[in-house]
This record gives sequence, C-alpha cells and structure tokens, in this order.
Amino acid sequence: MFSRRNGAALDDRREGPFANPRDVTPDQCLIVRLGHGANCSSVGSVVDTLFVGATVGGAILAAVCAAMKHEPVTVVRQRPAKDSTVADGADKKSEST
Amino acid sequence: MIVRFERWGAWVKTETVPALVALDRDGVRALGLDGGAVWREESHEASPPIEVHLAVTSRCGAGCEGCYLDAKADGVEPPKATIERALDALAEAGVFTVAFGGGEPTLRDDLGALAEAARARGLAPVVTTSGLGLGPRKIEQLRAFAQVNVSYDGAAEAYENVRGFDGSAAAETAIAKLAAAGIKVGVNVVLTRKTFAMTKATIRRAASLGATEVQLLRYKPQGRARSLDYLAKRLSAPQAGSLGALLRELAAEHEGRLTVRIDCALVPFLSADPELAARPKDLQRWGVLGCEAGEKLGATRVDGRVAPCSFTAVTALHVEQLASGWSREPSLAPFRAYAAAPPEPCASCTLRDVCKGGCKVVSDYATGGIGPDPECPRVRAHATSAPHAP
Repeated sequence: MFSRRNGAALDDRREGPFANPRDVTPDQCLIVRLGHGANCSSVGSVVDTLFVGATVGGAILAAVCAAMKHEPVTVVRQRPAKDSTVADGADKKSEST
Repeated sequence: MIVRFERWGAWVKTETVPALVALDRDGVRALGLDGGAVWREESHEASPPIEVHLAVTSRCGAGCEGCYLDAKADGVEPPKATIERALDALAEAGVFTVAFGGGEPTLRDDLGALAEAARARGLAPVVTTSGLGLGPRKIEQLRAFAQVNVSYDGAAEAYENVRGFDGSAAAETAIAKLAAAGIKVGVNVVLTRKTFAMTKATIRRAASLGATEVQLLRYKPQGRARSLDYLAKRLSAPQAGSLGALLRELAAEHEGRLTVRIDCALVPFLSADPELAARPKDLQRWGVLGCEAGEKLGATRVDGRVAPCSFTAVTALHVEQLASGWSREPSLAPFRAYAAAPPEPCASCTLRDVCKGGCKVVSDYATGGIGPDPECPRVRAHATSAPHAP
C-alpha cells in the first residue's frame, strides 16, 4: 500500500495498462514550485520567475516536464479503494513494490 | 520523482530539476499513472502538508532578541529515535520536504545522521542555521541536506538591529565555507524597518560569498518578538508597499545567479504592486504561497506537538498521528476556514487565493484572533476608508 519507504520505485510504468506514456505539457502543470528552499520557520516561494519573459518561463516549464518524463516514479500515501477490491493500475502497482 | 495523488491530480516532486509540481489528472495520465482510489472517492478532507518544519532541538545560545521560539542555551534535545519516529510519520503522511530547525540544529551531534534518515524515507531535508560555531566537522554533517540556509540579516549594523548582537562575521564565514564545500547555501534575511534600505547591499554581499538563494522574511511578533518592540521593528507602510518594486530590482540584478524567495507573510504586501496584483494566475502558477498554516504547511515542536506553522500555538495533535489526524484536528479548522472565505477587504482582493488572508500571527498579535492582516496595504487602505461606527 505504501511504496516509498523501502526505497522501491514504480519504474515499470511503461509496461502493462499504462504503456506509451505521453509528454506532460506545460498547461497540465497547475503549480510549479522551483527548488527546495531551506527556511525552517515560514514557507518560502521563488518570485524571480514572476519577472522573467515568456521564453525563459517556457524553457523552465519545458525542463520540468522533461524531468517528469524520464525520472523513475515512486508513489506515496497510497490509499486502498473503499470497496477494497484490487482496483486499477496505481493501487496494483504500489502493492507490487 | 515522487508522486502523491490528490483529488485534482497529483503533486509531483522532481529531482533532476528540483521542483514540486501540481499536475492535473490529464498530466498524471500522460505519465502513465492513475490516481485510483484517491480519484474515485468523494473525500473533501484536507490533504497532508507538503512541507513540515521540524524542531530538532530548542537549544540555542545565540540569544537573538527576536527569537520566535524563545530558544535558550539549556533547551530540550529530543533523542534521535524520537526524531526518527517523527520522520516516519512525515513519510507516512506523504510530506515532501522537512525543514530542520530549532533552536540551533547544528548543536546536535547526530544532525547528519538525521538528514540521512530523512533521505532514506524519501523526504528532502533542508536546514536553517545561524552559522555560529560552524567548524569543519559540522559542515561535513550538513552535506546530507538538500540545502542549507544561514540566517544573515546583513553586515554588522543590520544584523545587530534584527538580533541584538553582531554575529554577521560568523554568518559570513559560514556562508563562504559552506559554498566552498560545495553545499548549496542560501541566506535568510529578516526585513525590519531599519534594515529594509540595506536589503540590496545585504544580498550582494551574500551572493559574493557564494549564496545562491535568498529568502526574505517578514519580522513576526512571536516568542521574544511578541512585545511592543515589534511595532518599532516591523516594516513601515511605505516599505511594505514597495516590496514588489524591490523584488523586481533584485530579480533583474541577480538573474541566473541567485534565486529570490519571499516568505508566506510577505505575500500580502504584493497587493500594493499594481502589476503583480493584476497577475494572480501567474503567482499561482509559479507556486507563490501565502498563509498555508494548517494546509500545505505544518510544524512540530520538540515535544512532537503539531502546529499550523512555526509561529502559531501547538495543537493537541502529535506528529506521530499526522497522517490520520491532520484533516480532523479541530484547532486547524479556523485557519482553513478563514483562508477559504475571508471577509473584506480580502474577499475581493485579486490575490486572495494566493495570499490566503495574510499572516495570522500578525493579526493575532494586533487583534487577538484570526483576521485580516493589519499590515497589508490593502487592509490598511480599507481601514482608513471604512466608515466608523458612531
């Protein structure tokens, strides 16, 4: 049910029911928070991206989308379906890791 | 990358380009994933926080006069196993980033091991330090963190104005040593009425020492700073109103070399900037977060009790029950309710969905409860123009 803590990753997403993933497009990114930040008292947000031009902003979004396409996946905080039957891919995959 | 399904899609944390992305359902499907039960259920429970601030000690001998936690040299240091259980709980809840704080975290001899423990659980550990007493052994311990921020409010006079003593030389040395060691280092700069004019010089100095990120922080009335002195240290109305212009200048000056961040409590001040106030969608898109206390942000104290943020009172919830208790903890409800439906002048503000009603710590100091942030330029204008009761 929970896949991150033992270091396992869902890196088999290009097989089975989710074969042939497509590219994520920038318009599918509702929010993009860049970097880690390291403040221990209040939540910090990058603001210099508010002042970049469309070209630079687009390049940043493209880089993030490309990263999502290539990095192996680990799903966290999985919840079983309330009917408890093995459901669709996400649940099944997490159980297998 | 790490994926946490949400009703609307998923949070996705990427590593090769460090970022946290809210991806809609189509985007998640494009990755070859499906939200399964999370997408099918009609639950409207609050999701766990994406970031938690974890106090790993309340010890600190620096004695900063504005310390928001009133940390002392003889503070409490929880055992390593206690912190590890807290990390287990954060991981179970699906938290992405854990920010180690205190007290002074580097006073712990096991700090590096705790950072490794966080990484082993899939959490991104970051830490804030004063930089005081940061020798080679402690610097080596900090290598396990994704980023280290040094509290640096500027050169001598500015630093002393914020903290009551001049620790700037030690902070500057720490920044330089961390950068030389190849550790990603940023600086936290607290803005006060006397130091605001020095902000550009402070950041130039930090950048010259090797800092690659600056986070500007609003001075907040909590801990030792919850006094009348706060009224003299807080930003003036003109300073608050000019924050947007300052950020624009900083971004232009440091483009490509240093990242500029602001903390959640500074977001209300952006309402005074016509250009930014007209672009709420851009602020949302680039992940600018206002008051997320009790929503995307949580904090824990050294006793394990959870608070909406580092500055607010603790709740009855213990961090080890975070996954099951976050959505149901009654003390968190007022923060969420206010952010969801704030009164005027927040209700009609273009930045409402970003700002979430301003800093509740400041409103509590000024009015004794959760309400409009009294230092927000828009709230100030509203208070001035509103008819007064006879």
